[in-house]
Amino acid sequence: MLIIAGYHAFEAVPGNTFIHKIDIRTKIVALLCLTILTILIDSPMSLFLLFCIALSLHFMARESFVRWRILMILILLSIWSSVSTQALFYNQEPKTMLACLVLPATPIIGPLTEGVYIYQEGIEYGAIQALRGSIVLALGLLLSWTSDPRQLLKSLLFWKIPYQIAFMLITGLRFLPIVFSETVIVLTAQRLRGFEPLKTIHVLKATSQTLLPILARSLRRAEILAASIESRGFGRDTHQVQLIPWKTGEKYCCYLLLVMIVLLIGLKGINALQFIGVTYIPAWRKIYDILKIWL
Amino acid sequence: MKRIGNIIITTLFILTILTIGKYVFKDYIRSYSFFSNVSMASSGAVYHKIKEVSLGSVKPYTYQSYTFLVEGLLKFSPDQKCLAVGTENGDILLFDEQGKLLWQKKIGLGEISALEFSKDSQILYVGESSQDGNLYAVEVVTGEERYQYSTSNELGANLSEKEFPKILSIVTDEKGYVYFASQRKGSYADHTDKYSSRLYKFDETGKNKKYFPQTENMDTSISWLESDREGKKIVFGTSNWRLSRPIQWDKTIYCIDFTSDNVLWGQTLAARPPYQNATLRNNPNLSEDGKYITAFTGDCTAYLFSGEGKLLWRRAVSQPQKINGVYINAVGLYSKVTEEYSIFATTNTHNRGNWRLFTPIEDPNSNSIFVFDAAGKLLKRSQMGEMGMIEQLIVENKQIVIAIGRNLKTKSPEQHGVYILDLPQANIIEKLKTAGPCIGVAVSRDGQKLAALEAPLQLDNGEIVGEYKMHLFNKK
Repeated sequence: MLIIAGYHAFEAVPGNTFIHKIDIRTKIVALLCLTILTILIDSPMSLFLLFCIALSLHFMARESFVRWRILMILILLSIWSSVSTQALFYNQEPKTMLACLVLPATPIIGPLTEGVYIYQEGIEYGAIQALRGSIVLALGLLLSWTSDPRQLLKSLLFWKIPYQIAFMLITGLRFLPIVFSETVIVLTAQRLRGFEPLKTIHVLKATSQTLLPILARSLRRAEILAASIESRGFGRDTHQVQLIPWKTGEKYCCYLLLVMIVLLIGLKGINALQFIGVTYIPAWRKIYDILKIWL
Repeated sequence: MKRIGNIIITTLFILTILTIGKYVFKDYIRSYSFFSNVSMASSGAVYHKIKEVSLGSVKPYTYQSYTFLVEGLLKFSPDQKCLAVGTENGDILLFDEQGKLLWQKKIGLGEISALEFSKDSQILYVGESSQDGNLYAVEVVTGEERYQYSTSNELGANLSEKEFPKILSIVTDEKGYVYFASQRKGSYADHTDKYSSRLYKFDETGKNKKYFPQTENMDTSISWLESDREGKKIVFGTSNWRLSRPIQWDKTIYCIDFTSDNVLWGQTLAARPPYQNATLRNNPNLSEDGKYITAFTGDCTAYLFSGEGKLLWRRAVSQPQKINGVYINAVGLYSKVTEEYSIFATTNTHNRGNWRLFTPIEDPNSNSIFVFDAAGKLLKRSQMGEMGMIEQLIVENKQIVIAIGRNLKTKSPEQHGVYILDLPQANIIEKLKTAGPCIGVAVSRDGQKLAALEAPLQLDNGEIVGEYKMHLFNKK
């Protein structure tokens, strides 16, 4: 279902919302800053607030329900996979056992594993950690769904990234929906021949019979693309279409965001120095208090 | 079919996010009534429970650890209209008499170590342990900070060794003064303890400050501070556990006059072998009129002094005994004095060989309440060891109120809770059960309200019983 739904999932759709109107460069800088912020923050409260902000940006972009469904499924997968792994393999103390999946007395597997349990603290820890991944996922999808890839390429060139690297990056992104469409075609072709790859019990056989045609078709497309761009003179120093000017207000917002991130990294460093007992500035006590609670 | 799938995905997504949100912000939403469950099962014949408030997550107690893992402080205001709670997570919560949260503050970097109201119930004083060792004076009505003072100005702080000043005890008088003791514990090269302590007297504005001693720190460990009603006498006890060299402030109990900066008297309490020096914890206790002082040393000797420092009587409550080459004894922890009686409470049996380890047998006088009359005659000994460890003792309104924590021998969680005993018979007249160990208790001056603090406990089978929460009771 996800594969079929994702056929157009990663392609940008033109829109007239505030989010769509933001310059692609502003979006990239904001995504970068918020990703760094997600790594910097340890406070579950701040991470949750950041996650809510990421979701509210999707509301502002007036995403279709199909896209919301994709976003929800990906976030749920991210959260519940993290929750389930941490619930089983949480190694901090204390931990509260909620259920026992494998008793230590179970033959062979019991002595090997010393019992497999579900831990309450693991569930909580997993859920908080999954927020980090979910924030980056939601913001990445927002950028992908509200920005024209051609603008993305131009923005990379604007920042003096070598044309070849920028082109490869964007082409890679553009290939994702194509891979999805190839998958749909292969699955449809197999069904028409009476084979049900998603229902068969021969998983390995079904996987190879599905993946090989997809790989072959992707390679064929790549070859055609390579020949096509070669014939158009790829790599020649020709005039590029320029991006529209970056709005001054947005540009200063980006500077402000970057300054804030640098400041936060600095504050985090100062807090670390206090924690390990290297230096403490009594006049900054209020800042230390805020850092402890929110960062 | 597709629509049902969409509904399931959307519902699951919303529920997942709401669950995470509720968990993340539990410290902020816990105090609202619709999140508070009141278990009437723990009500008794005299008191009934009106509120339970979760205080967040803390590392639970275990039976393997002797040390005090979870801390929390409770205090009713003198006008009995407010209850202040200081949590291990650094939250200061102020509730009204019905348990409704009035305001909440986070102390941030520090750990709350002492709480006290001014006698007019207008200011809440909060002491902390941190790099600054601050005293906070907070307006009771608004929760706004009136002033703060850093005791690291006098005591300093050793950042690399994490030796920070800590405010150990706060008392107030009827003239509006607050007295508090701050201490920084360090260590010499031979790993013996090194202490720096100071006493402070501030007025309500925090502008008029007095220190004792005025110009230098004391080289002793101050464990407890008491004041009479008018602040004429300030009594403090010391607890120098591991001394390797002579100290200037070597007495066990001191009485000072802050106005004249004079030591009115000091007493060195003799230690019983194998102890080298007597120590006081959670006491001495000074009667409100300043006429009597009780002291209960760690080696279990009970004392009653007159306000002028004259020893009225002394009683050996427990004698250290050598068992299998190791001395064991009950530990004297709390003492309270009323007009008629002196009440003393012991805690677990102490292992002289290694205080962190439990003893193979229990001292018969451990976890017991002793009630003496004014002449020093033992009226009643009530052994609470069958219940569990005495975590706090309060004597108010002719009643003894004790918080009972873990039972290290039977390991049964059934006996956790608050016990109310009559005076002087020390018979249990009420038991208010808590699921986890009860680690703190407070009673309003008229005895109409009672609050208890419960901590989580991890049983040997891994199960965790109880929560970190506050219970509020009303007298029927």
